[in-house]
Amino acid sequence: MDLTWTAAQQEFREEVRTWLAEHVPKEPRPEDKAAGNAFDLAWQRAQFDGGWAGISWPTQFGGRGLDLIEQLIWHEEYALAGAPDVGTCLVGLTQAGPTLILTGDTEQQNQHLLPILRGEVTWCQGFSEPEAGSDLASLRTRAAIDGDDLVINGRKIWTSYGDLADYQELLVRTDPDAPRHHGISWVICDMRAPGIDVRPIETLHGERHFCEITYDNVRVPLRNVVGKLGEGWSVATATLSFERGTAFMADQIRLARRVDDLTEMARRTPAADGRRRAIDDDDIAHRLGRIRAEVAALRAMTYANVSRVGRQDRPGAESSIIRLYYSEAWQRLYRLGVAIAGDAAVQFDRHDPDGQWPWENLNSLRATIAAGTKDIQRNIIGERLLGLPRE
Amino acid sequence: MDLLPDEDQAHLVSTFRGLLEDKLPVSRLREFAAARADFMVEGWPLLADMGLFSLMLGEDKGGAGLGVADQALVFREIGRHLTPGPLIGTVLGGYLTAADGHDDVSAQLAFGTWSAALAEPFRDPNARIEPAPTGSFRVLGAATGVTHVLFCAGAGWALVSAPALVDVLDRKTGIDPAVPLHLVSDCPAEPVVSGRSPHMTTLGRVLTAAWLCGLAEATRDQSANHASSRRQFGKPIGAFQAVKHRCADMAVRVEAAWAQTAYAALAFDHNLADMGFQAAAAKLLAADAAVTNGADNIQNHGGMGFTADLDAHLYLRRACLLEHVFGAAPTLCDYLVSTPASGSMRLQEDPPYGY
Repeated sequence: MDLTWTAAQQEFREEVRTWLAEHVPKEPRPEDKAAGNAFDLAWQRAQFDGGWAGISWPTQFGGRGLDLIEQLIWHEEYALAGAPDVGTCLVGLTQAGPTLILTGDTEQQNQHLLPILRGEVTWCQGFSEPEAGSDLASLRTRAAIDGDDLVINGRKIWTSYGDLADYQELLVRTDPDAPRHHGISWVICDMRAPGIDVRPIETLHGERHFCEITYDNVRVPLRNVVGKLGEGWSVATATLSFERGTAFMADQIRLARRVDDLTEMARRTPAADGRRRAIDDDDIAHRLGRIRAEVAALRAMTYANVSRVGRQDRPGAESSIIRLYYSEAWQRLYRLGVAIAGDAAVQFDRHDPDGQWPWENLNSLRATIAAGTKDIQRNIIGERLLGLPRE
Repeated sequence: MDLLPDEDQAHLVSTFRGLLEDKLPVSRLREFAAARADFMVEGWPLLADMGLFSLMLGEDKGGAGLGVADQALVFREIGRHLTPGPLIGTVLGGYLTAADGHDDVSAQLAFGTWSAALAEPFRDPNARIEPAPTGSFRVLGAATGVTHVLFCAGAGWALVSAPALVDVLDRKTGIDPAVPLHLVSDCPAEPVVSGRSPHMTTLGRVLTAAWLCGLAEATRDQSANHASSRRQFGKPIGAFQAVKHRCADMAVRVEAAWAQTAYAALAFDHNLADMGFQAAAAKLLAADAAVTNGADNIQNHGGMGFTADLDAHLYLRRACLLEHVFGAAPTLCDYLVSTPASGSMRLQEDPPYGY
C-alpha cells in the first residue's frame, strides 16, 4: 500500500498539466447541438495534434498507450484543469473505437480508428430498444442477409447524438432462432444510409440529445459486421473490459468540485429561519459533512479499483460498486443543494445560481437509470461479488 | 500509488488471521465474556506474542517498524474476529509514548506487560489534560487485569495507573458485554506520563475506522453466506431481490469504508496535509458501515438474528460502541464541513469559517 508517485509519474503529471493549461478551450461549450458537436470534435482534434488522443489506446492504433497510473493521472489533471466533457466523442473513443481495436478486422480498423482520434467523425450507440432496456439480450431489431448486405428493420432508443452522428455501433438480431444472447451481431451502421429516421426525444428537463431511431429496410454491407455473425453479444461484452476505471477519476473530481460549490453556497445562503446561515443548520451540516466524506471515498475507491485492475488485468464487479456509489452520491448532492437553496428551489434554470440546483436535481434522476439501472447494479454486486443465486 | 496490500502486507494479514482463528476464535469469546478477567490473563499475552502491539514500534526498539497502513490492516482482522480487549488505548498509548521518547513505557505497552483502556471526555466540553485528567471521562475496557488508562482530550493525553483509579471508577452497564464501561470525574492520580500530540485524534480515528471495517465485512459475509444457504419458498433467500440488494448495499458500504480507511492510513504514513480530514471521513463511513451492516445482518437472519444464540448481535454491539470512539457523526461532520481537503474540496479562506 503506497500513495507515492514515482519521479517519472510526477514528471508526466507536470507535462500533462502544462499542456492542458495551454490548450484547454477558454470559451464554454455552445449549447446549440451542431455547434456543440463541432466544439467537441475540434477539442478532440486539438488533443490529437498535441499527442493526447486515445490515451488508453495501443500506440499501433494511433493512441498514446499510457499505462494505468498514467491514465489515472491524465484524467485527474484533465478534470482539475476544467477541460471539457468528452461530449459527442464519447462513443467513438470509449466504445466503438475499443471494439474495433479488440475485435475489428484490419480494414475496419484502418477505416475508422484514426478518424475517431482526429475528431473527424461522431459515433452513436444503437443498443437499447423500446422493448429491450435492462433486458438488452431480448433485442429485436432484425437484420436479414440479402446478397452482400444485411437488411435491417427495427427501432432503437436512447441513442445520444443520433441526429448528429456519422456512424453507429449497432446490435441487431441476425439469427432469430438462436436463443437470446446468441444470434446477435455487432455492425457498423452508416447513419446516412437510406431508411434511417432519427427522432430526438425531449427529456423531462428539456434536453433533446437522446433519439429514437427507426430502420426501414436499411442496407448495411456484411463487411461492416465486427467479429463474427451471431457473436455480437461477446463482442460488446469484451468492450466492457477495455474500460479500466481510470476515467472515473474525472467524474469524481467534478463531483468534488460541486461539493465545494455546495459548501460555499451553504455558507452564504440563509437557513430556513432567515437568521442563521444554512451551514449552521445541523441537518445541512450533517448532510454536507457526509457528502464530503463520500466524495473522498470515491477517490479512494477509484484508486483501489485501479490498483486491483492493475493486478488482475481486468475490471471486476467492484466497478459496479463505484458506479452505484457515484450515481447515488450525485443524487444526494443535488437533493442537498435543493435543501440549501430553500425557497429559491422552485426555480428551474441551469444557468441561475439558485435555479441550477433544482435543475441538476431533476437531471440527477438519470444517474441511477443510464448505463445500467441501480437495480441491475445491485444484482451484479449481489451475484458476482457475493455469489448469491440468480432469481 | 497502490491502495491494495503488497505481498508482505498480505502475508501479515494472513498470519494474523490464522493466529486469531486458531487461538482466539469467536467461539472462545463467549467464555471470556462470562469471566472477563480470564481474557487479560489468557488472551492478552497471545495478542502481544502475535506482535499486535509492537507493529509500529521502531525496529531499533524491538518492534516491526511498520506503519499505520499495516496496523490498520491488522485492526481490520481484529474487527472481523470480534477480538476483545483495550486494543486502541494500548496501541495508541504505545505510539504516543514512543513518539515522546518514553521508551520504557512504550516497551511495556508494546510487549504486553502493560495494557491501556481508553478514556475520552464524557458530556464535558471542559474536560482536558493539564497534565492530569480534569473533568468527566468515559473509560472503555478497564477490566480487571488492565494495568492503565489512557486519557485523551483534544490534543492532550495522559497515562494513569488503573489501580490508582479503582475507587473513582463508576461502573455502568455497557452495550458491549466484552467491554467494561466506567465513568470517572476528576482523576485523583498523577499520570505516569503525559503529553500532547496533534496527530492523536487522527490516528485514533484511523485505527477505530479499520476496526469498524472489519466488523462491517464480517457481517456482510455472514449475511451472504446465510442468504446462499437458507432456503424458503423453494430457493435460497439470496435469490430474492430484496435480500440480494440488501446484501449488495452491505458490500458497497464495506468497499467505500475500507478504501477510505486505507487512504487515510496512507495519508498518515505520508504525513499529508489533509490527513485529519481523511481520517474523519474514514471514521464516519466505517461507523455507518459497521452499524448499518450489523443491523442488516440481523434482519437477514430473520428470527434467529434476534436471539442471543447467534453472534450477530455481538458485532452490532461492538459497532455501536466504537461509533462513539474519537467522535460520532455530529462531531465528525462538523469537522469535515470546516476542514479543507485535497482533490478540489478546499474551503475558501476568506472569510474564515469559525470552528
